[in-house]
Amino acid sequence: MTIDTMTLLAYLDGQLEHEADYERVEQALQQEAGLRERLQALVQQSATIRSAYRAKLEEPVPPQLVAAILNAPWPQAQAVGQRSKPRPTMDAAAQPGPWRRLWQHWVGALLGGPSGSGNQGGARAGAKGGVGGAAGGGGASAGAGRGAGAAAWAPGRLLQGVALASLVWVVLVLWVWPQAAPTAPRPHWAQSGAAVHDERVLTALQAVASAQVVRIGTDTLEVLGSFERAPGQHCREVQELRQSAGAQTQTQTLAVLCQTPDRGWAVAFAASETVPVGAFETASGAQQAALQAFYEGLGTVQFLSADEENARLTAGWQGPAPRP
Amino acid sequence: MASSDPRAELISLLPRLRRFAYGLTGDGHLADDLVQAGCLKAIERWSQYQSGTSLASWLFRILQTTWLDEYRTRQRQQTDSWDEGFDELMGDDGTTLLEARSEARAVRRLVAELPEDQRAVLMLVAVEGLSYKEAAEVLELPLGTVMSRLARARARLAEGLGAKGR
Repeated sequence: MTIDTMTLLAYLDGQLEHEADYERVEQALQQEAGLRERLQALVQQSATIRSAYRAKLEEPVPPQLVAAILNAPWPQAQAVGQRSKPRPTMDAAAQPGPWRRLWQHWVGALLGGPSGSGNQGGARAGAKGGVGGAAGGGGASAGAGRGAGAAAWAPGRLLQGVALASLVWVVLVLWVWPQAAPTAPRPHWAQSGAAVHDERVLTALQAVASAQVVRIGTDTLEVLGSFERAPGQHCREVQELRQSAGAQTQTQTLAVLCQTPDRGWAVAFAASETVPVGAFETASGAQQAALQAFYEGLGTVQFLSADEENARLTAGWQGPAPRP
Repeated sequence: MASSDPRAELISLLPRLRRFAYGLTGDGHLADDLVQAGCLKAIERWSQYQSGTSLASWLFRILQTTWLDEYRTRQRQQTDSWDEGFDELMGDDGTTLLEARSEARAVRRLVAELPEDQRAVLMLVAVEGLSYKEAAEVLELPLGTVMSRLARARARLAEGLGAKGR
């Protein structure tokens, strides 16, 4: 008996359902030279198709594309100061513009209309999935979360008077609290060896080419250069401008962050200075001198060329830098 | 990085997303437009992403639907805008023969000429390496449909490559 192309292809792709199907194909392959040729042609074609798109995979990603994603308004904007324990990744309280979202909700609730509640239900389902990472991923769980979200909001529509009365209070809790958090000191450069926890900084380290400036809220982070400190361990020099509490001053930091064995990044060097707000400041002489001393302590530091860095970016900073 | 910024994950997927989009569109610039639109859409709809499932699959799906809904009509007006330039980037290992390049081009052209439904299946399975089941989920198709479309797509490619007498 002969094997049809679909089956032969599924055999090649390892997608047959039962062990017996594999045996059947293998038996036929032993007996029919023609089938072996067909399989061989398919193998060759697979390689041809893959290689036709290989160059695209290896091509450097345009920095504008990365920048567009990094700068896209993120609906969750994790509130800083929540680092100590994992939080739901989608927390309504931590989203930008909670005021507006809440407002839509409560207006929706007061008018008895469905506005926004379905949306919120979705967001909450996401939150539940995010907590344990154990959502299982079935469509059913999202559906359930969504249902629960909608149900939770329904009483709000029924108790319109209560809703109005409590509106102010809820807004205070959800709006003021996360707003207050970022004003707390964020000493993430504080000591040498401290792991970088700020996900946005990590994202920049991981994905942004040197000479690019990333805006993180009101703060900016510029990646200045990259080098390989030891085989497989990369470091990136950055300069950060961070608004201080009350926005009277800003803290300017020159830092070198190096990869850790667990594929994270940690502070290897940092020098901060407080500068007046508004002025664009480059690192001071003292900061530069301290950085020089740090580099001298490392021995020879050779910065990666743009091409080399690109290759490392594409590879996710894993493994030693390829030598040209 | 359990609670990592999903943007970092998105960025790490970019090379694959660009490749998939390039397969769908057959045009480098259009592909990058599509990837950007798709990623921004994913960010907007992040609440719909079910953690624990494949982020890549979710994005492939977004790209595919965005392509069908918004971009395809635009592309019809500029059918012959092939950018062949990036082949120059292919290996500097000395194997970058003219022959291989023209074959790669021929393959991409044939893929671009495939019917929409076959092209997406082919890209997901033969290029992106998804299992049939994963591809079926991305495209919301029965498994059998994925298999038959894949077989048809590959038969067309074989025909086309054969006809070019390589």
